[in-house]
Amino acid sequence: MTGIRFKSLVVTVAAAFVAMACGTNGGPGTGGEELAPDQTLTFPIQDDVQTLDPGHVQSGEDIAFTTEMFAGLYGLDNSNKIINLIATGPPDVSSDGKTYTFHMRKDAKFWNGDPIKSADVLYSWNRAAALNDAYATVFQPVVGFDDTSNGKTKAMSGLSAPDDYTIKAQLTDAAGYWLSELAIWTAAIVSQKAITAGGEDSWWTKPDTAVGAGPFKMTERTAKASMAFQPVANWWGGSTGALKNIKVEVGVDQASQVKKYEASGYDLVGMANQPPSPDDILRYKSDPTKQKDENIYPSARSTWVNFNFTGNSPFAPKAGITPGNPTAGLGQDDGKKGRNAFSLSIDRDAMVDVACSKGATCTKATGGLIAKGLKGYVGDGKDPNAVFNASTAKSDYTAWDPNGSKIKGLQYRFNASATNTKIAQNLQSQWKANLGINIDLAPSDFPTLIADRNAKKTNLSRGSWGADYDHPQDWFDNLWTCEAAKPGHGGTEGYCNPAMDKNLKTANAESIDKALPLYQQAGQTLIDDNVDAVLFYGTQTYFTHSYVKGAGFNSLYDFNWQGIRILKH
Amino acid sequence: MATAPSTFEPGPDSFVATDTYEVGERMSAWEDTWRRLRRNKLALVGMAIIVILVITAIVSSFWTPYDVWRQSLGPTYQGPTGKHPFGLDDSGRDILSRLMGGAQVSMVVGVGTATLSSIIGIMLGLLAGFYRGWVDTLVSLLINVFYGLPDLLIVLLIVAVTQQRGLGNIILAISLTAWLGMARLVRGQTLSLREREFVEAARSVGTRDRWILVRHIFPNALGPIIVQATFVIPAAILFEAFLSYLGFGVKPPTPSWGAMASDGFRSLQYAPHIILIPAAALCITLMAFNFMGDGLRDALDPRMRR
Repeated sequence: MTGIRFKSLVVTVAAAFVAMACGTNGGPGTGGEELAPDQTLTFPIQDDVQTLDPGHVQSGEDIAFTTEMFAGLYGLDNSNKIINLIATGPPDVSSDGKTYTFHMRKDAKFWNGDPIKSADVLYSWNRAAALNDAYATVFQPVVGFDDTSNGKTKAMSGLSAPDDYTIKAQLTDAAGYWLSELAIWTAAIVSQKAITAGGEDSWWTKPDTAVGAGPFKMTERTAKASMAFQPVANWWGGSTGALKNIKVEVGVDQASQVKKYEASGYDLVGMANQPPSPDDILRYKSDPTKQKDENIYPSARSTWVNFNFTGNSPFAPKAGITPGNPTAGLGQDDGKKGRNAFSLSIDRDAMVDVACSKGATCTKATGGLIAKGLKGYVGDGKDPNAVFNASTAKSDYTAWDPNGSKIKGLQYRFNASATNTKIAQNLQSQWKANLGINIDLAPSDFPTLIADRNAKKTNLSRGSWGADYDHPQDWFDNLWTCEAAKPGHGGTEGYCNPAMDKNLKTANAESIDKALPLYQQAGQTLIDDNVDAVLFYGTQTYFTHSYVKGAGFNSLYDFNWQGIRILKH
Repeated sequence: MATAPSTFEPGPDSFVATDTYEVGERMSAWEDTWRRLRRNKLALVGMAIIVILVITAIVSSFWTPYDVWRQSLGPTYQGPTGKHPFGLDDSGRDILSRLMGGAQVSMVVGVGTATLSSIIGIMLGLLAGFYRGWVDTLVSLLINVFYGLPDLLIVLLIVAVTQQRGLGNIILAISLTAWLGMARLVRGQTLSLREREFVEAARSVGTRDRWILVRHIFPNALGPIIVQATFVIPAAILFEAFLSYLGFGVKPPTPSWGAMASDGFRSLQYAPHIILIPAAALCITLMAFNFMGDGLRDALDPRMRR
């Protein structure tokens, strides 16, 4: 990302904040809006947060609050663009792409007034690496990460602080995607003093010690019952927006949430990655009056049918391929007609109608595995395998498995949930109707499915990925490289294409502008090899009263609270 | 002293064989029952509905307008149309076809449960009533213990433990709680019948116990047994529907009225036909069996004869 683009972004965001500042505590807001005197936003969530410690956070509800309470060098705006927070601008990157130098604002502070210096950044990043939780890999590009994450060292050798407001990071390889990773919660700055005072495991549970540098701070929390937040006074980053209080009721089931919302007990429903139930979404969609409150946003999640490329899977290019060994580009692909048949026999319009509440909770996929709206999306209608063609599907199937021996005992594995069961039953019905075969459904719990998929024990299973940040590397490195294809890794197909890997390695080292064509080429390779039968892309739904403005979803997370305002009503 | 009249004039109650005396037509007990049953209009309506249901269930085993499992036949939640007279459900399946398939499930479960629970109940009831003593104590204890346990709990445990949701397993599970009434009834009947003269007579000529039970006691208790079995059928159908509603019934996509109602419950506000149609089918079926059961009871019960 160029410096000019960054500057223009900062100016735009700052202008927006200035505009919002006009509308605090009643009076006119943006665009002549008249704000309500009480700027309290109240919403429910069903599942309580598991943690608000940026080093541990991984679930949707945790992320939603952590990103408001904490700040890192960079963050994301409502359109998913990287913005400067504690950093003064984009990093200085060496010509080989391996050395990053970050410059920090000198006025950044934790909400308790403690200044943020380079030592805090080193502490936070090394701590996150050492915790080695799900998102510690954000720091994988840094020299010394492996030693820190496996406990050999306390600090990554590639990180240093030349002065109080400069950070230097040495990377093992050029990583053009690293800035995208640094913009997520794992790289947020935490206070060593507060963690020591509050206790390593519980500091985030108490308002006094849940110290961050974000625009909001937690003022009250009763586990499994409620949370409250307020804007940080004189926040170093500028305006905190119109809201003065955020009240969160915790542990409210979906049906009760909507009931209370309809009784004006909540301002909106669907925050923190916890949308209303599909039944309520459909009910609202079917009611012209309620429909006005329903806001549906695309989400960065794709769902597909996984084919196993290894072992004795009928979908493997040839029998006996071991996970992580090349499976494509060999000129022989005995499984391709089968994969074609299973994909072409799915009418995705029908599936979306059945499994996604008449299309309210997902949209059919036509442009590859990376979800629409994200970098790396191949393009509308670019996946010929995602087109319903019953006759070709049937002829491909007959050619592939003339006597039915290949699908004997074949099961579709999925993690049991209402939506996944509907998807599975619809797949079963469509395969039976269009291919004339009966595929047994085998639900299980999620950990069992993940373990079996990663061990490449499932020949046909549900696959899905929700992006952590808007960069194709997040998809490819986790799912479709030869490294990911190895046993125990997340490349559940066991698909390994050395030529594609080579391109991806080049792409990963480049800036996104240069890398994007390479990623799209890789995406096209996945389509050409029919690695997975992509089904649909996700959506995120909110029910929002008309007087609430500025709430929404940027395909990854809730819009920042700074932009939310309550109009007079 | 009274003297005999010179001429004998038969009174109205005197038995005198004449050519004009009308002897009532001889009828078997079953013919008599049928004659009484025919007079009960509700029972006849019930029987007619049951006959239709049985025919529907049989036909659905080889033909339905659409495959019962087939989704996406049209837009989900579509209301009744010429092509789909009962509309489509939340998965775009034809409700009429699934209703027909559900009738088969209901009939199999109802008749299967009535049969199995009757076999268990009759055998235990006969043994307990005939032998009395420790056999009676044991069977009565078993009945009382089972009565103390909630039906639903037992059935759910069986389904959960076996992890099987086939029809056979559901019939077995429901039967294990449905035999109690039958056993109690048969035990009571046997206790009474075993003291009757024809049993004494059979015993006195050395007839074996098994023969007495099968040829003398059981046939004489058959009327109440049939009535009881008739009432087990709707109870079993309702139980299966309830299990399916809870998600413990037959495995999808096999249609069940309970599961269909469960699917429809969520869309009650915008697609009420999905729940109303299976619920109506269930109501009509239960009423039909109850009408027929009441009619049979009236027809078979001597105390009801006027």
